[in-house]
Amino acid sequence: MFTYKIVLVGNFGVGKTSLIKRFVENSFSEEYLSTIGVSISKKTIDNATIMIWDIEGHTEFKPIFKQYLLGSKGFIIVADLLREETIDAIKNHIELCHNVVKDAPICIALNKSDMPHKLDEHNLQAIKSLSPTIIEVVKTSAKSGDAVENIFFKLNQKITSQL
Amino acid sequence: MQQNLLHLLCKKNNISYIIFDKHFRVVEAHLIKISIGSDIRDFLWELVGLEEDILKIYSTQKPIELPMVLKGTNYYDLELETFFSDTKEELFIAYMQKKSKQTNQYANVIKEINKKTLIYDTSQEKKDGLYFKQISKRLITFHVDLDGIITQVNDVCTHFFNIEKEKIIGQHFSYFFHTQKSQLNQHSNIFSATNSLDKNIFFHADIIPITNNTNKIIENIIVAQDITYLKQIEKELEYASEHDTLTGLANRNHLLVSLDKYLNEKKNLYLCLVDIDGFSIINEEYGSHAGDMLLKHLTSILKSIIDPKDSLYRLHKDTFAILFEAEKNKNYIEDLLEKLKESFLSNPLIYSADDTVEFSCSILILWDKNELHTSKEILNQSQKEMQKLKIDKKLSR
Repeated sequence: MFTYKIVLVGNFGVGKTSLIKRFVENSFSEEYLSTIGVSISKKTIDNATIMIWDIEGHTEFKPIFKQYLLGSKGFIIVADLLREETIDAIKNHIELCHNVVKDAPICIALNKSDMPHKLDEHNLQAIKSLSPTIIEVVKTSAKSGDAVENIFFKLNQKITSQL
Repeated sequence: MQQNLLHLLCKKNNISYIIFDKHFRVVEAHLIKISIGSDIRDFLWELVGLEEDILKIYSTQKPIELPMVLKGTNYYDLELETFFSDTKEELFIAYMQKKSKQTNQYANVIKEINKKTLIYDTSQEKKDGLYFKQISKRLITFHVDLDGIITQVNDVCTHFFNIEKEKIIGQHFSYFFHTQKSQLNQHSNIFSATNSLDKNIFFHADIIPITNNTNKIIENIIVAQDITYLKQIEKELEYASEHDTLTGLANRNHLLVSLDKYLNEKKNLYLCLVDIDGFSIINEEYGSHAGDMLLKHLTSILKSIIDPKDSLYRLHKDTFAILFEAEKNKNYIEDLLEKLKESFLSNPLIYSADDTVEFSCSILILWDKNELHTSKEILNQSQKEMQKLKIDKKLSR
């Protein structure tokens, strides 16, 4: 059994905790509870145990604490499809992740896809082209569960294939 | 002795710890229920992925710090450092300091702020705010009191003039903004101002009166929108109304204005009309495109020969006019007309490899006509004389 760490990175309120809750517990809460510091969850899939770090989101007043990213085998960068500034921030989050763990694989989760939004296939391609380390850009919904497992599985597949 | 002291200090500061070896096996624990010899990573998930960094602490001498780790409902700070046993074995120690109640309260306050910020971020209020922000980025806004003294300005205004806010406030608004005369209303809402690049910009101003509790106006807010582009369109329309689109020459309207000016200033007036002979036949024989090309060809011949100080016009169809400046004399004009005639003969229009269009022009000179009082009279008289000249020319053939 291989045990490794991944971190969910993104602005505050994009749904990092909700995605983890949906993936780990298959549950969802409408209430927004922002994460302060870091909370770690564990999930076993196939032949791997993943330590999933849910870290405090980036806000206007507080950047992401770099130390939390140390030793991560991959990242899921989360943005909110309804808040343009969280999508614009993806580029900075990629840089941050690569500053700490060079060339780590990244999946981009564009969350809240259950709500009406404007992002089309062309926009997804533009996000994908931000870095060659991006393996997947997916619209997810922690609320409906849409594509949530997929994104964790895709990242797991990439990480375990690199062993 | 070392362990006893550590116990004492940790107890006093509410710190628990686990000592572990380089294989991540637990050697000792304080205030934590964990089996000796078990893998510390089964208890402290935070250490997964950090193995290489932890083993390097001996060489880097940099402890690893992870603040605000949430376990259950409590937060603790985790610190990983080197630790030597009594037998000098190189071990590691993980300190966990439980955060105080105040820290938990602080975290709850931050959560509450984040929650409210998120609600605002996704609200219509913020979207509207963003729209207004975009609009206000383009609008100059300033407050004036009832005497017209500027009391407040926005950043767009200071940026426009490249002058500090303090140097604008206190001045009368007419120092910066100049009202334009309106042809439509008695009061114009159009004014102009010169920006930092020394360019004159036109604005349309909306004046919003601000009243006090007794409904008395205490000041006005002026919101100014750049309408320079409308002024540009106005200029282009003005130009189009006085110019011919085919040749780019000034047209009949323009000539009338110029003639009026001459008449008002009582200047010597020398006007010459040039009309292509048999233009309608050329049009029929070679087509209207060739006719257009001939008009352009004639324009370039006239332009190349006449003095740039004199003015050239296309009145209609194939009739052109030259208005000589007042200083020119008859001899000069007669010599010039000879040159023109020669040039028409020696410069036919080469329309295509097979078609060369030879042409001639009738030329009429109108010397000072003191009995004529208006520009229209002069022009009508000239055109009548030109018609007569052309009929005579036809009859004499």
